[in-house]
Amino acid sequence: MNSTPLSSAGRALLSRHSFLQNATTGLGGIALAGLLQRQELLASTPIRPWIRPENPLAARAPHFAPKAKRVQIMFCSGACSQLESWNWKPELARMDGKPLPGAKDSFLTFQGENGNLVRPLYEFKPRGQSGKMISEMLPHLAGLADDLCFIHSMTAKSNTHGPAENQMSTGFTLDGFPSIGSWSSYALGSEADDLPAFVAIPDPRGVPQAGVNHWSNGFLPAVFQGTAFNARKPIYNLAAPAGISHASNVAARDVLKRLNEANLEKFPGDFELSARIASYELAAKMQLSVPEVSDLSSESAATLKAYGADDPDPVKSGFAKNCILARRLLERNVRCVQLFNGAYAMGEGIGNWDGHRKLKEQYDIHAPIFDQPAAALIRDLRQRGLLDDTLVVWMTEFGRMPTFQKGACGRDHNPNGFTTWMTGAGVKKGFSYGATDELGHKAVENVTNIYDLHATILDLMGLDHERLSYYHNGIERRLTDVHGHVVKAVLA
Amino acid sequence: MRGGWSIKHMQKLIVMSKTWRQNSAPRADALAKDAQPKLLWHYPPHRLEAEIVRDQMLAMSGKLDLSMGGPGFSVFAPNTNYVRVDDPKPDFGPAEWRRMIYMTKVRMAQDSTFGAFDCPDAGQSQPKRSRSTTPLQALNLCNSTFVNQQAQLLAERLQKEAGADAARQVQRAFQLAFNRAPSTIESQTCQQLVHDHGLAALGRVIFNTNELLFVP
Repeated sequence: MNSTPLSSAGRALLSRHSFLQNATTGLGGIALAGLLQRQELLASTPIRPWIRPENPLAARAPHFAPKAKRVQIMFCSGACSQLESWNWKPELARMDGKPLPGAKDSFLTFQGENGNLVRPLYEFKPRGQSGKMISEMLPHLAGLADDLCFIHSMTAKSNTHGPAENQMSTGFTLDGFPSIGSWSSYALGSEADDLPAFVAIPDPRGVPQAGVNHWSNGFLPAVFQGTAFNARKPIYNLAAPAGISHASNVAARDVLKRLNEANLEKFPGDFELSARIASYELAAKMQLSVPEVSDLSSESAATLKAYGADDPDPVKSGFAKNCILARRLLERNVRCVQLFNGAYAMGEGIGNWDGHRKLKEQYDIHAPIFDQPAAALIRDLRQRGLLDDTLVVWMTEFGRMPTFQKGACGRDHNPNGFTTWMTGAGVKKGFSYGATDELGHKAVENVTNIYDLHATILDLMGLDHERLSYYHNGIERRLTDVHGHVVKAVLA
Repeated sequence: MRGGWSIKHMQKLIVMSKTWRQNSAPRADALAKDAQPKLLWHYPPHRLEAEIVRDQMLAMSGKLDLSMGGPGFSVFAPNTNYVRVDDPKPDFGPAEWRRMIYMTKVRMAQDSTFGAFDCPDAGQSQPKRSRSTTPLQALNLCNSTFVNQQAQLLAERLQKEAGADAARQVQRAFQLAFNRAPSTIESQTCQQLVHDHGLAALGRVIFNTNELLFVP
């Protein structure tokens, strides 16, 4: 018997195939020939990875040679303004104080009425050889301009943080879909011994608005979920509770193993029972490997300083430590590391990039927390040779308006034009793709959506986004739904 | 259809079938041909679902509250943040000891112990639950506050029902968990554990056994 399980498409083809075999019309014969051809195609290009039940995280081959073996996602939660950071709009400075052309009086966006156009709140300067204009808000990252590959024409489906964050991490605005890291674990398994294949590192201030959705397995089996921990907060339930001695823990593990092995004798070779016994061994290894990877005491003083981990601000030093943790995870071949900057628990704009009211005041706090550690991480990855096969993607859920909100000193949500960038494995250096209009309001050139971004990330990992699916609730689900085109122009 | 479209008739047909009634024990010759098993020659052991894993722990400790209906219970600590943060309660009491079906399902958060057992996310409808095995599940069942509290409560129950004799305590624990007596070796191993590390240590082990967590 064929050991490769048939996809539902394959099953449907086979049952129609047998139906047509019994049909005697010429039309049936013609259709059959077409079907057999398609079936052959399916046999050589499965749309679901074959997951070995006894070892679901075994490393699996990609569809084609990957450029990136690992992906480092940096997510600035709250919607970081493109106009204050990467998307230079001299025309907006010129139009400062004037109404947005074509807009009716006090036109409405997410939070309500808008006022007039407001110039970028930070100075822009040409950077590096490429002369790319980047603001002084993020000077350390600006220094990497020649390495970065910008997409300035991003668009999102939602103008609301939760759904838009969902879309950026899972492809769907609704809750309950697998995150990009879960899809990659599902497709490729794990190369990291004793560590999870997919790790999410929440900001020291807390989790982003869409919370665990960012690293959820959605409807994929739980084995593909992201594991969340940061330099300050370990994995839930990693250590035995206080009051249980090491000796008791070791003895309990030994007795459990003996009882489970006696039980396995009644079901020799059973996959699930053996997998569960093995899971305890993995858990025991994780109890050693996770504290080891999270322990930054072996990092040199120079490294800690380069990241800003010695900063007196506990939020900045906390984020810097998270960045060092990210590098340590990537070094140990964790495939997908999601690093979050910004948390939602404290409220709008206070601990995140949601600058509705006092944008400049808030970004003056947030930018230094993010800038130096994030830039140090990229430099460190490059210096250690990891950037050759690691893709770094900076993202945020949407952009902000070129106008201020009425009666406020901040910008409202704008899903119609914003910036993301990538650097590292497989992408062009010092390159910019797509553009917004002269005021940075809407994407007008090479308009790109989140499906395209996801298709491109998967492509760099050696995966065809159209051939990676999971059958759920009657549909072969994909990260990119039924959309997405690889942005070939950004590929090196 | 010949049964007049009767579902009862169909169910009877299934449960009376040879396939349904065969022993679930594996056979070497059949395993060699079809290990999966795709041909339904036996029912392979299946891990229980999250809700049953939790409920049976409570049933064993004697704390399961079977009251039906009414408002559900929450396993998340109350908080006053701008956006709800679903941190688990630091400890649990009788209010959380009802069946898990009454645990209020929140968006974007899972129970910190049992959610990892493929609990549906509930953001989307889930007609078929996946079933996977992860080291996080093992860590949760070994180290969570909930499980260790139940292990302590099980120890108290065993003490009450079997007295101070370790052999009788182990005997009772096996009856409650596996509905069978322990083998001589199992009994000795477990008594040693009770002797060295206390009765709650035995409860912690039993809550983690495959025999308890799988339908054979």
